Amino acid sequence: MAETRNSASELVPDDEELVERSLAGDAEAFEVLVKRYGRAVYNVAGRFFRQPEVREDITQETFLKAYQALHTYRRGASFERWLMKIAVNACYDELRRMKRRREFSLADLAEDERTWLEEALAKPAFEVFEQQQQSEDAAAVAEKLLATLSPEDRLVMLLYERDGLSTAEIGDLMGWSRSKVKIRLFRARRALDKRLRRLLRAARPTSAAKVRAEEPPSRRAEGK
Amino acid sequence: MTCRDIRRHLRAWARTGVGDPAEREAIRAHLRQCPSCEEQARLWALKRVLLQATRADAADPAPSLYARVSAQLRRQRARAVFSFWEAVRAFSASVALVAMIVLILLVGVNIYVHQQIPGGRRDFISALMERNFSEAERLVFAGEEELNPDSVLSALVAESRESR
Repeated sequence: MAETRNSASELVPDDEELVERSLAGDAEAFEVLVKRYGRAVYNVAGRFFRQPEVREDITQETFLKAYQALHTYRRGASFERWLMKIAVNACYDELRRMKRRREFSLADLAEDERTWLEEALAKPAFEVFEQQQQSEDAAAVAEKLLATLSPEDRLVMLLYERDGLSTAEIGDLMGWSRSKVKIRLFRARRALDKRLRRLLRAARPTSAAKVRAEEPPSRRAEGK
Repeated sequence: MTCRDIRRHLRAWARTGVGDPAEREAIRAHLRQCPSCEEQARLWALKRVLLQATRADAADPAPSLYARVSAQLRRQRARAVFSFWEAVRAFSASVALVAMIVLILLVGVNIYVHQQIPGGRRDFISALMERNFSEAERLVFAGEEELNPDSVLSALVAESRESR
């Protein structure tokens, strides 16, 4: 009933059966679930935190919370979805524990981060839109910028603007009303745009950065 | 396309990335000749690049993580068993505490009730009960119809007066 066959023709218990066995005291059953969803939970944590040690801590916390709350899992619902809700909420708890920055200015950027910003500003906006390559400097600037937002605003901003979730989906994940998500989103956008505008004004590209940004990447490599 | 249309597209791009090729060329051309839209596009483009950069690449966790989680789960299960015995111990302690409170109350009530009896008469009755009655005294008492503390008191007071 609750088992499926994999390619090796072995019986693989499904999530629901494993949950029931865990509730009945089978310690190994829950560890099968940990192995099955460990990567997924680790990567949910990666949506909010880049440091592997933080992602590992959140993964561990998620499974411990899930184990404690296993009796609340409703039979017939998706176990993965139930677990992902716990994971996102564990990320939210971690965001709340983090120290919030009061202000953020150009002076808070390291030399490389400032150079990255100036080069991005020297390019036509359309090219920045098309930019696919991720950079560590961009991640560092973003981290400092987002640290000025409240944990709720930061979470909503990342899930809605970056990951493309709808306000209803975010509300369902967090147990918030849609209007609360919309209000958070409005505030987060306003706060982020304000800080970004201030940063753009302060970081008007120097002529050297303009030249570097206009050079093709091959020429830049030769120059080094 | 008007500036309003362009901005609507740009706002959507900020979430989903650059759209279809026909839109792309129209928007690119517009941005070249409209500094106001170019400025707005720059803000949204930068926001998109920064937000995308915050996401870590999908990866496998270190294999040691599974061992760590298993160890934590074992500890949690052990704590759950321990907490059962903790509960038993707490229950026993509460029963003992309640018994002690009941005992203290009983003793207290007993003392209170005894205090309601006048002190002089209580001491006298105690002394009387310890006393070895002489034959003469027994005779005195035997004359009474009812042997109660008041009659005994009166008899002994009379006896004391007589002996003086």
